[in-house]
Amino acid sequence: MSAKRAKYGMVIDVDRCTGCGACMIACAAENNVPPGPADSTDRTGITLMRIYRADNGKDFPENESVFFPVSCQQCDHHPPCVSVCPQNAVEVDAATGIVAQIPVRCLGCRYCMAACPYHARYFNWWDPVWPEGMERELNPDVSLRMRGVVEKCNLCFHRLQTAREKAAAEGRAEIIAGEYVPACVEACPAAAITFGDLLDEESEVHRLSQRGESFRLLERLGTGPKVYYTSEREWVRALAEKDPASTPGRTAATD
Amino acid sequence: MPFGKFVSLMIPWTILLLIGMYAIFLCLTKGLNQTNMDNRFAFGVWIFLDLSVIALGAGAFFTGFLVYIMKRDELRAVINSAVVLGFICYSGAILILMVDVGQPLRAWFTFWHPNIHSMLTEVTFCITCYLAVLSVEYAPLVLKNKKLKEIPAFLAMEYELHRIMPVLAGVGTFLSFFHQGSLGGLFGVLQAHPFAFREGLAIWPTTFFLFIISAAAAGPSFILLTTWIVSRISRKRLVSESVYTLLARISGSIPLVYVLLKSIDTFTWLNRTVPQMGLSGMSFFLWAPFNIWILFVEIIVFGLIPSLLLIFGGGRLRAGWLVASAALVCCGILLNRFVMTIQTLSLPTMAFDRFMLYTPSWQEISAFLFVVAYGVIIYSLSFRYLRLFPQETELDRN
Amino acid sequence: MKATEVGKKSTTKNADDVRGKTIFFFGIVGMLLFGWIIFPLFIYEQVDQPIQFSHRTHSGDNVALKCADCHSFDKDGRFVGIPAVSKCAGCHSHTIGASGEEKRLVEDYVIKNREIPWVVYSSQPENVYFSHATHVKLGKVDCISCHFGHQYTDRLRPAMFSRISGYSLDVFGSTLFDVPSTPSTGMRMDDCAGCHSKHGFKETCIDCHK
Repeated sequence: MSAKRAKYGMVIDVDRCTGCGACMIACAAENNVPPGPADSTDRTGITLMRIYRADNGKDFPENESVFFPVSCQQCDHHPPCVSVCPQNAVEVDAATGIVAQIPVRCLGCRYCMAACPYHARYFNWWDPVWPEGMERELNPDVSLRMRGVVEKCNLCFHRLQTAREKAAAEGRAEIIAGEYVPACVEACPAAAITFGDLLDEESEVHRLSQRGESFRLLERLGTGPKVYYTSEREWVRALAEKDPASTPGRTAATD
Repeated sequence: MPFGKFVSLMIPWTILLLIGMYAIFLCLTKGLNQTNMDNRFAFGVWIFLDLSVIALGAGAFFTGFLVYIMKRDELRAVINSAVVLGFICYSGAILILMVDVGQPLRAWFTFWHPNIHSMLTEVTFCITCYLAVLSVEYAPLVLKNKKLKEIPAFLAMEYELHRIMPVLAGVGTFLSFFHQGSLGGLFGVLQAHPFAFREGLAIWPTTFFLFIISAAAAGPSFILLTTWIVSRISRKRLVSESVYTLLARISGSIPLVYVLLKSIDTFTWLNRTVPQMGLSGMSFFLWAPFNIWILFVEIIVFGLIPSLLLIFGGGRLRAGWLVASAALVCCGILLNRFVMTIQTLSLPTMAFDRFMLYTPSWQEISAFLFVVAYGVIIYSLSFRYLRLFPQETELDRN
Repeated sequence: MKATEVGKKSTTKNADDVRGKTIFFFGIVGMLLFGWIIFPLFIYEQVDQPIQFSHRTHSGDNVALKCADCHSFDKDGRFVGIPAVSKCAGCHSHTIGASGEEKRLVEDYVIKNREIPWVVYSSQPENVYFSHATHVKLGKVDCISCHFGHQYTDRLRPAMFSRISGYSLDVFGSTLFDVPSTPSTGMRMDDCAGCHSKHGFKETCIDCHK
């Protein structure tokens, strides 16, 4: 509840992303995502951060690939999931711009999942179960979600809380940039993700987001995502707004 | 119909009912992993079922509106049957909704912490209120049963309930308008899915109004259809020919208006809404099996043709044709609800996304059939022990 | 004669009316008594502390400890809560008074170096986030603002836990409505939200719920 308003966001350099999946693993471990049971699939598992692959549609040797790590895009302007929730389980945190989902308020109607254009919301189809011993690795700062509720990325909000608490203990009202970093950003071995306050004009994330090579997914919907992507390649940038029907069959999600 | 034959007819439905109950039990105890829904198909056949039965049940509010508010007394011949159908459809839909949400015990959250911007809030409030209204409308029918009528208190209550019927019909019409519309709005507001998204008139997307009109179209057709089927099975004349003709005229003219509005809406959407989003409208129909045929069938085969048959064939065509046309109108509405739920979710939204389909699990299908069996059983019992068609005895005597 | 009959009838009707209203009134009162007083007694289980402790003795003039002398923060800024037995041993390495409870403290816990299994009144549910540092160090909120009068108590009251949810009465309250029926209802969600709005803090769900 600091007095200063922030808009946390990130810029993902897809030219650097190798699709290794370290961000997905770090995210799941940080946020107490249970391992799916044997009969779960890529369509029923929980991947708050998920990597999609696309290519330029050309044959070898001109073929090129790109990986898009997609988490909640933290829409800034009328997020589609907020207005549809019948019991106010989702709202935008005015102080940080984070689209916050409270699983304890969720009744599992899944309307928000149908409303999200990025498929960034996940349903707990099973009760969370950890293999013997693994429950000791659980993160105490993140509560467990029960079966039958929807969850999504909240930019590791608990890490912001921890940073704020540390600042408060030192008598500071504001955190210092860099004290709060989500798990996926920290884990990326290619340093492809830059995180920070988009309103802070001194910040690297603000500078990168304003580059001509930076773009957002489905900007035409007018939801103003706070997750930016950046690429030097023209065809990659074009993917953001491309009609999915224009190249049916040529692109596929990595499973 | 002898009691033995009635029981033998009910046995297969009871078996379906029991299998469905077991499937529902599995879903409630083990969770929704019993279904084949997934993170992409967050809505599946159950939502399709809810939308469909609520549209078919709309006959209750629409007939009530015509009888009590527009004073079309001819339709008193089918009003009781319409109320029972409405009660079945709404209670079935609410039951399946309770299974469909991940945490049914939290269903009260929507009433306690409502988000007034959500179409689903409006749907939840209106369908629960309307089910209460339908229950009160159903009560006098039950109280008029030969045995129950002997208790004076029940008779008095039945009389009192009867007096407030026009009020209930008014309330029911109001509630129905809103939740039928909101069910359409549910999909029309999805800016994420250009296939379902519609621009708004005032604060409501056009699907809001199309769903109201299509429900009003499906209701009378479904009443025509069920009355005819029941009359065939029971080998009794239940309503006079003039009622059939009137129902056919209503079931024909409203779908015709609907088809017209739906066509205007589709053209606006193809040529204005979708291009504004930088997409080509026809691109949604490139993904087999949902190609352009689906639009053609919905509007022409299940819309225009049967409504013309119903309007102009009323006096001349044989009942079989009228009933087949009414069935086609119902199919058109069901196809529309299918397209809105299933096709919407199957289409990719991002360039690196995939087209997806899903096959419902046996638990989903059994729960679906549970509602059908439940409807057949409740209706059959009501038909056997209550007076659903006031003209029946009179027509039988002749 | 007819008139008297009618009069008789209306008196019985009046009597019926009065009786009906009386039954209705007592029904309401009985229901409220049940809901507010009897039901909470059933639904909460009482748990006694393993050992008695007087906050008044320790914070009074003789000893004059401050809250933070025992309930401190660690270096990360996290609140430690109830002190470890080593803190007690700082003074009570051997019996210094005449109380039987102190004797038990020394013999059962300090000498054996065992921790005291205190029952915590104010544990929040798992999905609640609360930072003492933010409130105490940054917001300068007094301990007693939420832990009413705890420092003046002679005895530790038994803790009350809901048999259904396992939550403490202190954090959940005995009723749904804002009627403080016990002296310490300072840690319910309504209490948090009330204080926040009084001081002009606007919070979102995620500020306190994880």
